[in-house]
Amino acid sequence: MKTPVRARRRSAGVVSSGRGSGGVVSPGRRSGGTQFCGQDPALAVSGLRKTYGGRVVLDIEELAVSRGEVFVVVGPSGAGKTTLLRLLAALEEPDAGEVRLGDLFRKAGQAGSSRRPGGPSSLRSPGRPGPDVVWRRRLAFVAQHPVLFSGTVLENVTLGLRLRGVAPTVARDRALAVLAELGLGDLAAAHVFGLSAGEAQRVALARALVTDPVALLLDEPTANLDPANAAAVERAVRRAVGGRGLAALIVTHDLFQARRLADRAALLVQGRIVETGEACRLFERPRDPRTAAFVRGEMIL
Amino acid sequence: MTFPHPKTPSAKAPVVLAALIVLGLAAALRLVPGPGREAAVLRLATTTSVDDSGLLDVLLPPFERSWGCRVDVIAVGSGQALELGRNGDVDVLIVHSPRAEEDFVTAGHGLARVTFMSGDFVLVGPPDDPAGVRASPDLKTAFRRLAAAGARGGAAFISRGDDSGTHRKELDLWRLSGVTPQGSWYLDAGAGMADTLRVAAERGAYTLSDRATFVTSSAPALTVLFEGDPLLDNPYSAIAVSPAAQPGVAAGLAQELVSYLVSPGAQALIADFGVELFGQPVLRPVAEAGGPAVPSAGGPAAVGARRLDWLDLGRTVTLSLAVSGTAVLLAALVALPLGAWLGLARFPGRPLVLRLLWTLMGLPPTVVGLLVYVLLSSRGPLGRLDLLFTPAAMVLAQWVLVTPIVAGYVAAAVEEGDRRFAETAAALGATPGQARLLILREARPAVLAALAGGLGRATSEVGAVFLVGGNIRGSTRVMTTAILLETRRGEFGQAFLLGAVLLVLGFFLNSAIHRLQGAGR
Repeated sequence: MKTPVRARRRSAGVVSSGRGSGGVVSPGRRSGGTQFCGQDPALAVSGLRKTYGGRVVLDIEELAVSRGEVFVVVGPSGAGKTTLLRLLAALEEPDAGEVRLGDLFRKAGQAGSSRRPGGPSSLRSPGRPGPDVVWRRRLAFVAQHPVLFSGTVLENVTLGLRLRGVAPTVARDRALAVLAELGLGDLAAAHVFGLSAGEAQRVALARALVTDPVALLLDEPTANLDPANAAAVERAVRRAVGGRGLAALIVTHDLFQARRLADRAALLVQGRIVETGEACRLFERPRDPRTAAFVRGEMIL
Repeated sequence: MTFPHPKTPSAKAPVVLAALIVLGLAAALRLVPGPGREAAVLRLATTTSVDDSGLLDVLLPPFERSWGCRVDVIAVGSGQALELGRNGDVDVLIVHSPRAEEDFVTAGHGLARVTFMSGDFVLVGPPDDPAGVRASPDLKTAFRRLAAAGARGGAAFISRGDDSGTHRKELDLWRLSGVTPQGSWYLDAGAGMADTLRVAAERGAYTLSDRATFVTSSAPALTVLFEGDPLLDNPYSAIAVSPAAQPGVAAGLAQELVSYLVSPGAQALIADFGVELFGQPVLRPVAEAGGPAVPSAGGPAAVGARRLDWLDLGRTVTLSLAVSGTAVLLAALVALPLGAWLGLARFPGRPLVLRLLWTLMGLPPTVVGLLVYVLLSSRGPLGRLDLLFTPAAMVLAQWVLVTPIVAGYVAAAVEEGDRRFAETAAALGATPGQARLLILREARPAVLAALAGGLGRATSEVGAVFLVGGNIRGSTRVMTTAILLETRRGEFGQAFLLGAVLLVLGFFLNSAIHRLQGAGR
């Protein structure tokens, strides 16, 4: 089952405030660089840039999400919403900028330029998680089309914990608690192939939440769901964020969902943030004409 | 599934289990020496016409009983039979190609040529005889009329075209008649006698056949149109392969068989052969001198034993499963790690390796058979192992055939799993090693399907096992080669029965795989 290591990692992309490993910088001691505003945000982005083949697909000067806050990024399809989440989840490498997650930092250029996260390139020793893995273990990412592993719901929900080496009985108890919280207690023993789309989405959410992440990243969490299921997922998100004090960053093209969920929101168009603000203010009294147009339901590019 | 830290787990139990199964199958195949090992085996290469006639089923058992040995019969064309003798792949030959036999003995490959029986050739064709062969004053005229009718488009001739004794005889007769057979009326079947007769019957064409095969094969659409010419004599000789040329051969036993064939007991069996079944003798005993008598146990009563033999059928089915099962298990040992690696690893030459693998997935069984044959033949690099015409050779050939298939399917499944699951696993905090484990785990149903596909391919292929196994009754005869043989003999019922068994087995196999896959979900 062993696969040869393709290439050595060049350098660690994550710096933590702990002592020891090289490149460790705590927020206060960082020399120069961008200052994050607000009261110690859980998730903060600064000067983040991503290009594909010379085309800039994402260029965000600043974005921060606090603990217990739901931040919703809205925007038309192709605006770069998913790219933003993938960069934050360390599934892709930015060309420039840095991201802060709790006390961890991730900087462009420093990170291993692994194009295939989880691929052989970043395997040095199977037991010592690399910096990307450390980073990913601090947050939870639920893709637009969540992929469940074959097995039962419980097996899926405990997976993240088992990957982190949590004892099976502990993992089981925590998973059952989260499942109960999301109203999925009855489905614990069910096989994932029998789940409805709404149930699968909530199972994926439970699987993400069970690891107690610092930040929760959701990509179009209800895009494929009927209104009843969408409402269930939204309730689950609100309750989870409120109860845990985690920072939630949700991207959606659904303006109504954004209004229902968001504490703060931003409009992303062509990779750039057009306007950021308190959700009610942004949607009721947009300052930027493009935001106004988007809120009115007009086509914007 | 647990993820122990810091080491990745190694799944040893399935490997041990597979090793045990392989050993069990190997023991069943007598690949490893066991207490009940056979004392002596004599390898006899003969022509398809002799084997198809059923004569050996009558002639050999008394010999096997009195010498406590087993005679493995490999039925090929005379040309290939002689080649097998030249290579030392067999111990004794029964052939009917006088000139080639003389050359064989003169060149020192055989001890002596002992003619022990004679059949005769007959010119057969459609009863309405459009070429007017029946009324020919002599054989040469008959052949000339055939060619003339062929050129007019009024008749067709099917030639064996396989360098067999019959084929050479036919070419001699054309030459003697002063005719060069060519044109659209002269067809080359490239097949054994019974097959050629069937082709001729289907097409309403003429062909030259030995009488024994013609009488025993059911070709009612054909009738004998010319016979009795001295040119149509068909003497059969037995030749023991010379131990001077091939030290590995069982020369003693081979000479005993040759002596037995000219003994009064065997000669009587030859004379009686066919009378009970067909009401006419099809072969004449022609031994010049009587050899040592062999106790004739059984005698002609054995004639007519070509009814359904359940024991034989059971042995054939068991061997099929054992050979193909062993081949697939051994293939799995290589193909599963290889497929998993190719599915997950990324390296510069990978596309090329995958293209090569896909090409090998389509390897024709006959090519594999040829390759293994050359490898295992006495003159080949692995000739010393003495594996040709044994189940081990068949396992090897099917292993070569199946390994790329299993590896290819597994690689594709793992790559697909990588695309599907790698990112999710990474997002959940899996280390690359853990992610690989998850991906491989998801590929389990596909692995089962790949193994089932490999087993299906192995049990259904005929080209490779036929070439390297030789279709020896009770030793290397598997279902597909048995079907081939029964069809050649015109025993369609038996062939269909075997085909049905093969299908039923396939059904149960696939049902079992389906259940396993279900359990894995």
